[in-house]
Amino acid sequence: MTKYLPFIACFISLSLWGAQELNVLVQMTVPPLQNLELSQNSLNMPESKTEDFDRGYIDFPDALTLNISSNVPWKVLVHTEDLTLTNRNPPKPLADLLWKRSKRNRYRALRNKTRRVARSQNPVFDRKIDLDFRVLLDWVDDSPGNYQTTLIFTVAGNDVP
Amino acid sequence: MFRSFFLSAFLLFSITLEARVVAREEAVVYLDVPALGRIRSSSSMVKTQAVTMENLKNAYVEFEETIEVSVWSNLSWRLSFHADTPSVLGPDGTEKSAQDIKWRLNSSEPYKSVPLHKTTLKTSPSNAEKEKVQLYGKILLNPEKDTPGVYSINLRFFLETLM
Repeated sequence: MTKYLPFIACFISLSLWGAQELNVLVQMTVPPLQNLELSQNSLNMPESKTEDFDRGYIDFPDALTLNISSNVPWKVLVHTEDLTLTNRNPPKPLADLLWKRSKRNRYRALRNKTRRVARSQNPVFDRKIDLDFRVLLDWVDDSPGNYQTTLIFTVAGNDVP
Repeated sequence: MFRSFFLSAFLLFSITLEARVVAREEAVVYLDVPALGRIRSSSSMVKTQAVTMENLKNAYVEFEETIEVSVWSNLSWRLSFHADTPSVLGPDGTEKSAQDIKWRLNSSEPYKSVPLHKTTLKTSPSNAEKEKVQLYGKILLNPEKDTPGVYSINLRFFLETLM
């Protein structure tokens, strides 16, 4: 019997060792993230024709696409820092440039105060928003020339005033 | 006659003495080496890289460093692991599937989902002294569902002997 003692002892020792365990915590932090991309940084309105002047405006549908990503509730704003549509005299009023979201009816005049283009409580990724533009034309007021303004689009959290 | 008697007695005494000299006691030394094993990790917590918009576009973020598990064993062994819970706990009670956590042992093999039940990571027929097993990991991202905040899950590693 004694000669088996070592084996018994060894067996007991082996049995005593179960599995060794170890825990590792995996942690990821997602910060609030927002991104805005424009389909282009330069918009050339179509050349105005007599019928556009007769109608009183020229349209540029789907002229610009905003590409928005945000993992928090968001809004997109637009404004300009210019006071008019040109540096030339006579100036063309900012309000002669109108914009709207494609497939919506009502145009809004461009202002140098921010206006909301879109908003959502839901996170979005690569959400595309197409914009239509319209420029009001007048035979009397709009003399030939190059008119321009810079549109500034901003994406912000919905809680930002 | 008398002389012979004394000679015989002397010889018998000598034999007895001799017998006492050659008698032995044996002591056996038993060395009890138990089966021993140990695992340690380089860190009790592994973070991902800071999530960026680029990560959201790529739909994943990699671990900042590998999970490095060191194994000591005086027997052949098996290292296994699983996620502690079926979900990664996020902010405000949100959850994300544990299967969004991917792992691999080296960069040439494809990523696999972290298992929910004990799954072998590595086996070895040899003993080990601080043998390192490195686990590369990444977490899949869903930009429209993974709201800002801290997400965490516990991975449990096991070392067992192979008898």
